[in-house]
Amino acid sequence: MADKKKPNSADDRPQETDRQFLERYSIGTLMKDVLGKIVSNRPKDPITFLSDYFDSLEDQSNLVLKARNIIEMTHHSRPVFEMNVRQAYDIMLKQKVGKRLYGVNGTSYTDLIKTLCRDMPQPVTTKLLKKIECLDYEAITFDVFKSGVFTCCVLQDYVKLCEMLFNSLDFQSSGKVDKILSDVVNEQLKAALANTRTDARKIVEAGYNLGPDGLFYALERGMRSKSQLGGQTLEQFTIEICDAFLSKVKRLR
Amino acid sequence: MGDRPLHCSIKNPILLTVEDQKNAFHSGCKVIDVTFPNVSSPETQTVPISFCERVGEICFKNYYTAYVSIRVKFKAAPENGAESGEIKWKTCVRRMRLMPSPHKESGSQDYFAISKKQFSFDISNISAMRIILQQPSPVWKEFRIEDLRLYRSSEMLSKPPPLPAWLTEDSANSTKHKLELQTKAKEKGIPNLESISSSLQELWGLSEEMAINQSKTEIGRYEVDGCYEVNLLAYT
Repeated sequence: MADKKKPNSADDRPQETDRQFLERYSIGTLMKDVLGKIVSNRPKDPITFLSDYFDSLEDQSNLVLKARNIIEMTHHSRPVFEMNVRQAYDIMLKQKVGKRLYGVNGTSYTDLIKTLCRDMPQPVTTKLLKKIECLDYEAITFDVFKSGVFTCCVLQDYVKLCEMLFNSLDFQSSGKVDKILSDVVNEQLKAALANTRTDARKIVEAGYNLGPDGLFYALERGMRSKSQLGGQTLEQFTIEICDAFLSKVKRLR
Repeated sequence: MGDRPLHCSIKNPILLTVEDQKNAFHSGCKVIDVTFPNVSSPETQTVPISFCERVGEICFKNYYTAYVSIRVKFKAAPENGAESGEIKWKTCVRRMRLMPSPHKESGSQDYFAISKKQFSFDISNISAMRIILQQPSPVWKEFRIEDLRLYRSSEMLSKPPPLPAWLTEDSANSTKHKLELQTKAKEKGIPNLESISSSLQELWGLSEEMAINQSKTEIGRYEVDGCYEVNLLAYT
């Protein structure tokens, strides 16, 4: 007799029930949110974006994860990024810190930084934290928050680029890069970053040294030296190249 | 003009006039006195005669002076030890024309450098120098020379510094140059110089972008010598 049973309220007054059904789970607001986010963030792959968004909805309990997901919605170069960071900060402000005290303190800030840097080698994250970390009980202002988050996002890009550079330098595709070459490249990069931003002549020189010509001469010099220093893995290479980046991170006082 | 200019004391120009009750007129002739203050220690000389050993070049910027003459006074050759002999003024540069036509503008604000070749004799061991400016035209009431500098020698003692590599490149973006570089790099065993270079430049760009956006606000720490002690703060 099972097939005689009618499905529950599926046919009774369908229009109202549908609407009530949707309202029961606030699907309308959810859809509006998602569409709004897609339009403002303009992801390259909307379908993946949608699926990631719905996945992250499950992490409702953890404010840090929620904040992280919002921050990672768009690339740091786009103007929407700043709005997302503000939203993330507002979410984290709801974190309970003490009796009747809510806000962003050092622990949640450090947690956020750590989770943003989850794809990087551990030594890089440790060094970064040494520069921008805050003590657990300190109150984090939006300025400090924004600067730290921005640094992390740029560092994410930087680490991905390091991998590309590693693959370019790995002439024999052996998974290892000659230490000599890696040293030469690192030196050129550090020299370029050591110059102050305002000296126009030094900037042009740095550009030349990193261009194909200057780079060729530096690499040739390096390869002429017969010493064998062994190879470097991707992780070691990344750690060394990130040193140049981290030298430019301002230490929080 | 490679060395620093000679140390000398340049006095203000003095207008020469013929003072007469009836015939006061603008003579159009000025004199600049240049002396060389004594730089050697007082013990070596009993009589503080300041002099200059050698002048190779005289540079200045003109301001409406038509002719310039330079006279030098030689260090007196002491005949009786401390007694000075006759002091002579000799004309080193006679009435050098700075402006082709004194009434007109040309040459009026030019830069001039009088070198050894234009001197009548080599200037050495002089005690003073007088630069006589003449401007016969009534059009220019005010005339002088500016930025007067004396140099010891007119040859460049050292070669100019070599131009940096990025300046002497001949059109680095030309395709021929690029191909040459690629082949050279391939010979050395570097297959993709361009991609390495562009990755490095992107890394550079990212780092600079990050550095610009660093927060300037202080986090508001109240630590004294690394430790946070409320009682201590009350005393600072």
